[in-house]
This record gives sequence, structure tokens and C-alpha cells, in this order.
Amino acid sequence: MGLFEFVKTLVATLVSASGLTEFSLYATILLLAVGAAYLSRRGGMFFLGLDGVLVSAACGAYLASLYTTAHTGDASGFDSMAAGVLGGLVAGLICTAVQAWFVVKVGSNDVLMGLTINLLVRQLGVVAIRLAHQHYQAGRTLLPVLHLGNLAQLPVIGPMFGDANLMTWLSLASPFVVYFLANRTRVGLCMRAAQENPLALEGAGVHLSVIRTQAMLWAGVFASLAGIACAMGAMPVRVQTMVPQGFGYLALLLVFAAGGRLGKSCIFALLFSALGALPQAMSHMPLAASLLRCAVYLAAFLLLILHIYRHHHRVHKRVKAQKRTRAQRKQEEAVPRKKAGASRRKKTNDDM
Amino acid sequence: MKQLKEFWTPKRESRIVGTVVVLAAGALFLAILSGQPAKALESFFIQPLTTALGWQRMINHATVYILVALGVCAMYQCRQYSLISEGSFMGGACAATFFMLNSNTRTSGYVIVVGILFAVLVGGLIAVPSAVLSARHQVNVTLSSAIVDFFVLEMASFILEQFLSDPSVSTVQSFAIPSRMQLPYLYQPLGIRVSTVLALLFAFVAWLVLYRTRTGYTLRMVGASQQTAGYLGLSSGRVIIFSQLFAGVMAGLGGAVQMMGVSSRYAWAGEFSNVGLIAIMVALFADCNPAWVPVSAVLFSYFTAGGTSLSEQLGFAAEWGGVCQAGLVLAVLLVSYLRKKQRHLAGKKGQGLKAFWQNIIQAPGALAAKWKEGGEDGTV
Repeated sequence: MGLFEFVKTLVATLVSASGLTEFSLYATILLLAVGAAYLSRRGGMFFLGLDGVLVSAACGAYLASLYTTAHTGDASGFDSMAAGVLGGLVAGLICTAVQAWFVVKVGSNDVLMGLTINLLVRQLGVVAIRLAHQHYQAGRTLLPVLHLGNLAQLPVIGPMFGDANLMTWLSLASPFVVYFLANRTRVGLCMRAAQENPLALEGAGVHLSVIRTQAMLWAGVFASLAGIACAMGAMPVRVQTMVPQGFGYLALLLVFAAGGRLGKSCIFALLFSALGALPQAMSHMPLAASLLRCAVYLAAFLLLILHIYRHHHRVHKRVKAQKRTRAQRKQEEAVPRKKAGASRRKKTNDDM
Repeated sequence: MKQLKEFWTPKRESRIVGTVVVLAAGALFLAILSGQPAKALESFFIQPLTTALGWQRMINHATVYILVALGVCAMYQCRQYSLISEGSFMGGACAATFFMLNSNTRTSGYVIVVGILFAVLVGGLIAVPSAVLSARHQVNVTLSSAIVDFFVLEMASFILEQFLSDPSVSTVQSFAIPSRMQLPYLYQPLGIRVSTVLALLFAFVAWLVLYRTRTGYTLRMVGASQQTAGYLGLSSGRVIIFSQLFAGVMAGLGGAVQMMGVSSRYAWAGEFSNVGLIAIMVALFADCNPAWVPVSAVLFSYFTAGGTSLSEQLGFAAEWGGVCQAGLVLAVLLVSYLRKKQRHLAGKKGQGLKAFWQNIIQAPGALAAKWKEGGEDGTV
């Protein structure tokens, strides 16, 4: 297969019904996770434990729905779904609160704390799910599919909305919610100050630790929703922890590479969702899925390098512009001085 | 008595108390969750210490943890919070397996030596991108190294699936590594191999270099303050790159040792081994001091061996060991915080463990008295 043929097949696979469905599943999780990473960054925190929160929320959602199904029978499926969402939110928020307490109150290093929590939650998740499977029959409760109008009949992008569940629609709204929260509310503005000028915030009589904890908890809400989308969405996941590996780290990297801008982060999230959907969508092609997944992380690394060079280029440009302005100002100052000098000379000549 | 007082520093105290807390909490939860408390506790806590197999496992795991954690110590003393040890470990292990399975016609000595060198080289190379980016462009080293880890994981999975996979096994695993390619034993009943002695030697050398030489001082100086190091004429960029490369090399070596005696097949298809991450915790528990790394590694490997034993005896998840390991770090942090807070509340610096426990024991009584007083006034 030539390169052109390969690219053609790639694009055709991506815009096929299965490709778009996969894309929407990935985008749901990544958009919510990016929202979480953005909010924590806004509060001046490095939320490395985001991956752990995703896992805890997914495990919580799975276990709560499993327990409810087993104990109530739940023919309609509503109770187990509600229990799953609630369980996921509670588990995710507990995990976030523990991290926030250790980082903000105890003063632990955020990287080391995030790493420890990630490891603890992954291992604990495996133990809890295996224990649950000893007592209850394994089975996932899926979120209900919501058809909004005739969106599913739209040409090309229609299949993306065909299987869209509650969380997919919520994730589509999440960038706007996050924007509103960060820029139009008091908490959001305090969070911004916590990132940009913590001393000023303290001077204004606001507790920095409270704002940072709030930022973490808001981030935890979005991360928990992402975790619930993993466990209760149609995405194939490892049964051990209910979450594919690396989403948390990827979300953090996307926000970092976007320079902390929400719009850019969301665009990157959509691009990476398309890349992430490739291995599943191209399963019929003779290409190893692991190699395609490699491409996702390679692209993430390249994005990081691109961001650095853009940053350097921007700094370089700013320095150049400053130099030019300074030179211009010097020139402007030199001209009247010359004129003044000339007139003074003329005057002395006349006097003489 | 004086020596004991000197040994009993607040940091050590919090580590010892944290360990006791985790052992107690681990035993309690295991007894509740397992359904067979006596058997579960015996297989998790007793068997690693009373059986030859338990000791073998503990020493094998501890050897690998020591090697990887030594690199982490150097890197974290330099304040480079990179996660590259996991990626380098997996890269090294995969490279060593690939080399060993493709060199069946060579002599054992040749395969072992060249296999180790190959793994070390691969481990070091994996650490290069994030090291250079952090040193030259001040990129967040944690994120860049995490992404490199994931890339290595998928690449190693690809190599495993395409070139090393054994079709006769139900799960994705490499072909079995021939026993002649394993590192020789020094004392077989306890599973002590050449690598164990080498790891202990490395720990001593690392301590010597880190605390008794100019190189070590430079490394710690850059970790303390890059700016000051710059004023002193030290090249912090070079030191940062060196520390991360060293961590990569040691993790690669750990990967090779893992495949030359600890594991008989490379079996991490699409999932992390967690050895690199546990080694980070080993280093943290030892306060990034190479002299204490062997002690810390033995403690962590005790939990790993306990988890394996638990899984074999009762079918309980072996990950319970990992839960205890992560819990250990959290417990130490918690105890340190409580101790600090207790000192702050008492207003007396240097109050020891006795006062800490006294306060904890007296806390319910004091609370009840307060409640009573408040209740009488109607102010609660």
C-alpha cells in the first residue's frame, strides 16, 4: 500500500460510522479530563493525581452499579445507573480531597503525592474489583443513549451522535461550563489570582489554601465525570481498573502544551481523540494496535516540543520588538536634541 | 543511650511509626476482606519470612528495587521529579529479553555481559529526551517523562507481540529465557545471586559518591538551588542531564537483572510493571539516601513477596502488596504532619514520641471534658 492509499484509508476509517463512534467515546473522556486539568492549573496546582481520580471514579461507579444491580434486581436499570454516577462522584471526590489535603494542608510535594495516589488507587481498584467479582457476576451498566432531534441523521458526522450518551453531551458542554466557572464567577477569578499572583490574593484577605482546595475539588468533579464515562460508557476498557491507561497524564500534557488556554486545550483534546480512536477503528487493517497507540504518545511528545519552540520563538520576537522600540525611541529623542543643539549654536554665533 | 538518641531522629521516628501503622492497618483490612483471616495473615505476613521461597522472592525483588532506586536517589537529590525509571526499566527488560532470545548460540557469559550492556544502553537512551528538554528548555520533567514511559510501554508491547511472543502460552508472553542465561547464584537457598552483592556494593559506592565527593556535592547543590549553583560556576544543565541519564542507566540495569533471574518471561503486554514506580517510593522512604536504600528495598519487597504469596494461597489479589507499599508512603507523611502539628500545639519544640502518643491517648478524654464544659454552658 502506497502512502497516498494509506492516508486515504486512514481518513476513510476515521469518518466511517465506527470511527466516529470511537472518536466520540474518546472525546467524551478527554474533554472532561482536560477541563479538570485546566481548572487545577488555574488554581496554581499541578494535579498529577488526575489519573488516580479517573480510576477511583471509574471503580466507584462500576462497583456501585454492580452492587445495586445485584441487590435490587433493577429491571429498569435506572437505579444502578444513578447509583453508579453517585458512587463515581463520591469516590472521585474523596480521592481528590485526600490529595488536596496532603498537598495544601500537609505541604507534601504535589508530584510525589500524585504519584503515590495514582499507584495506591490503581492497586486498590484491582483488589476491590476482584473482590466484588467473587461475590457478584461481572457486568457493566451503561449510561442511557440520548437522541437529540435528528442530529444522528446528519451527513458524515451523524454517527457521532448516534450512540451519544448523557456524558457525551455533558462533555460537549464542559468547555463552556469550565470557561464560565473560571472567568465569570468569584471562585474562578480567585483561582486565577491563586495561579497568577498568590500574594495579592492573600493581601485581599482570601485564604490561598481554601481557593486551592476549591480548585482541586472542582477539578475532581470533572475528573470524576470522566471516570464515570470510562466505566459506564461503551468504550472497551480493562476489567481490572475500568480505565484505559494514560488519560490523566495526556490531559495534563495537552493543557501544558496549550499554554494553559482552554480553547486550544479542547482542540488538542479533539485531535488526540481522533488519534486515540485509530487503533480500535483500524482493527480490521493489518496494523498492530500497540504501534498505533505509540503514535498517540509520539504525537503528544512532538506537541510538547512544538510548544517549547513556539514559546521560545514568541519570547525571541518580544525581545526583538522591545529592542526595536527602544532604538526608535532613542532616534526620536536624538532628533530634537540635534535640532536644539543646532539652534543653540546658531544663537551663539549670532551673539558673537 | 546517647547513640540511640542520635539514631532516633524525627525523620526515622516517623518512618518507623508509619511502618507500624501500615502493618497494623494492612493486617486489619486484610483480615476483614479476605474471609479467611488466619490464613490470609499467615500467607501475607509470615510466609515471606519463614519459607525459603519467600526469602528468595524478597531478595530477588529487593535487588531490582535497590538498583532502580539508586538512580532515583541521584535524580531526586537533584530535584528532578522524573518518572523515567519506569520506562527505562521496561525498555531495559525488553531489550535484554530480545537480545537473550536472539543469542541462543552464544556462550552464557557473553550473553549475560552483552545483554546487561545492551539493557543499560537502552535504559540510558530512553532517559535522554526528557532530560535534555528539562535541562535546556525547562520543560516539566514529570509530564515529559510520563509520556515517554507510555511510548516505551506501547513500543515494548509491540516488540513483544511481533517478535517475542510464545504462541504456546494462553496470554501474551515472551518465550522462556533459558536458565543458562540467568545470573549465577552465590547462595541458592536464599536466592542470593551475584546481582544482590553488586546492588549492595553499588549502594555503598552511590552513598560515597553522593556524600563524600565533589560530584555528589555538585548534584545536591543543583538540587538545593540551581541559581546558587550557577553563581558558583557549576553547569546545572549538565548536572541535570547527568542525574537523569544515571537514573535511566540504573533502571535499565534493573530491567536486565529482572530478566536474568527474577522473571522467566517478559510478560508486561500493555501494562506497566510498576517496578520503577515502587523504586521511586523505595527511594523516598529512604529519604533519597543510598545508604538506607537496601533497608527500604527489603521492606517494600517484603510486601511484594507477601502479595504474591497471598495470591497463590488464597487467590486474593497480589496487588494488596502494592496497596501497602503506597500506604506506607502516605502513612509516613501523615505521621510527620501529626508530629509537627502536635509540636506546634504544645508550643514546645523537640517533644518526642512519648508526648505524641500521650496526646493521642488523652485526646478522647480531653474532648469529652471539653464537651461537658461546653454542654454546661450551652455553648457547644
